[in-house]
Amino acid sequence: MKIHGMWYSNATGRVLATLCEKEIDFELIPVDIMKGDQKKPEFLAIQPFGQIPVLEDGDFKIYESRACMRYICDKFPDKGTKLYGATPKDRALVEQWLEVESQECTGPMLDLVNQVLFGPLFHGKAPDEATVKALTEKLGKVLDVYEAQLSKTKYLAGDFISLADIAHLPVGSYYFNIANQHDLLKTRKYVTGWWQDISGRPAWKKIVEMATPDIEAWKKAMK
Amino acid sequence: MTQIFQSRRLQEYCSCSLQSNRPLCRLNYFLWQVEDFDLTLVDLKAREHFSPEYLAMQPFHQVPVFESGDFRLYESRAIVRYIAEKYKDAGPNILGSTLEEKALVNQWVDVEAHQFNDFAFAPWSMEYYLSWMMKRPLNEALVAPLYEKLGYFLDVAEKHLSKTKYLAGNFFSMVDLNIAPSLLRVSVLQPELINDRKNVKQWYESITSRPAFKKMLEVDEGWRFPYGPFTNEEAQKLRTS
Repeated sequence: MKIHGMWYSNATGRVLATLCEKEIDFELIPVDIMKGDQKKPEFLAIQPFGQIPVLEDGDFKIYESRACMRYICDKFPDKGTKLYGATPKDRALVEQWLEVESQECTGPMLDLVNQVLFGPLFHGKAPDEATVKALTEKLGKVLDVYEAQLSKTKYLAGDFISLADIAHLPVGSYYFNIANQHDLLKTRKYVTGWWQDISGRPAWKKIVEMATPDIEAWKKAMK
Repeated sequence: MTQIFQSRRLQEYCSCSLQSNRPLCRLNYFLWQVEDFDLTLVDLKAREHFSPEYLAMQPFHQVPVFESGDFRLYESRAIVRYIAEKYKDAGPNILGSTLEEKALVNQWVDVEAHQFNDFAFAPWSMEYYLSWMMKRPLNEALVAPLYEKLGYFLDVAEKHLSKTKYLAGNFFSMVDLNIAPSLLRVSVLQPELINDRKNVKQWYESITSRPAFKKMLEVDEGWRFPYGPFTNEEAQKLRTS
C-alpha cells in the first residue's frame, strides 16, 4: 500500500496510525506541502481538492483521511488491533465519535495549534489572546463531554480502542505535546488518562519518531 | 419503538443547512420504507436542546438523536450509516456492496461534509438566511468567495459525473442522499450553479425526483416552495417573493 502525504501532516497521520495499529506495511510517498506540491496539476489529477493524503492500493486510489482509515479496517478486519468494535452497535458508536472528532474537537484544537504554534513558527505572527481565550473555552466545553464519557468507558466508543480514538492522535499531539498546551488537561483527569494511553501506544510513537526530523527542521529554519 | 428527536419548523432552518434539516430528510428516506418510528420535535427556539434531559441524550446540544430501546445514537451521518447497514438488504444499498464501492462512498461522504458543506455551502446559505431573517442586505464580500468554492466543488462533480451516474459510482449512495436537500437550497438561491452544469443538472434532477425524497417534501409543511428544478427566472421570482 502506498500513502501520498507527509509524516507530520495531521490527515496523513490519521491514516498512518491506522496502518501501524493494524501492522500493515506501507510506503510513504512524500508530497511536500511546504513547497505546494499538492496544488500541482499531477497531484490535482488524483486529488482534485489539493489535499493529502491519498491512499493507493494497487490500481485503487482513495482520499479523505477517515475514508482511508475505514478502508483499511474493512479490508483487514482481523489483522492487528481491531478498531471498529465487535458488534454493529459498537461500530455505530465508533462512527458517532468519529463524527464528533471531526465536527467538534479537531476544529477548535487545530485553530489553537495555528494560533500558538504554526502562526509564530511560520508567519512570525504572535497569538491573538482574545481568540486563544475564546477557542480554549470552546474546546474546554467539548473536552467536558469527553471527560463525562471517559468517566464511564475506557475509550470514547466503549471499553475498546477504536478509529475514533486514533483519529485524535495527530492534532492532539500538536496541541498537547508539541505546543505544550496542558491547561485543559489539568482539571480533566479522565481525558488526561485517555490521552496518555492513546499517545503512548507503540504504533503512534513510531509515527512521531518519523515526523520529528521534519518538525525539528522547521524549527531550525525559523531561527 | 424507534424514536427520533428532530427540530420543528424545518423551513426556517433549512437555509441554515444545519444538521437539523438534512438528517430528517436522510432518515426519512429509510425509515418510512422499513420501520415505524415516532418523531419527537425538539423546539430549538425555546432552547429545548439545552435542557438537562436533552443534554443527557446529546451532550453537544444538537439534533437529531436516534433512540431504539436502550440504544441511543447521535450525529446524523452515524445514524444514517447504522440504519443503512441494518437494512442494507431491504432497499438500495447506499453504503456500497464491495470493499472498493464502500471506500468510494466513504470518500465522497467526507468530501461532501468538508469541501461542500463545511467550507462552502453551510456558511454561504447561513448568510442568506441571516440576511433574510434580520432584513439586512446580503454580505457580498462574504458570499462571493464561498460561491466560488461551491462552483469549484460542482466543477469537480461535473467532471466526475461524466464518468459515473452518481457521485460514488453507478449506484445511488449515501452521499447523493446527504447532498440532495442542500442542493435543493442551492437551486432556489443560485440555480445557475446547477443549471449551467449539464451532468450536475441531470444528477440533481435524478436524486430529487426519487419517490422517497418527494414524499419527504410532501409530508413536511415546512417546505413551502416547490422543489424544482428551477429555471433561473423561476428562482429569481422565488427569492424576491
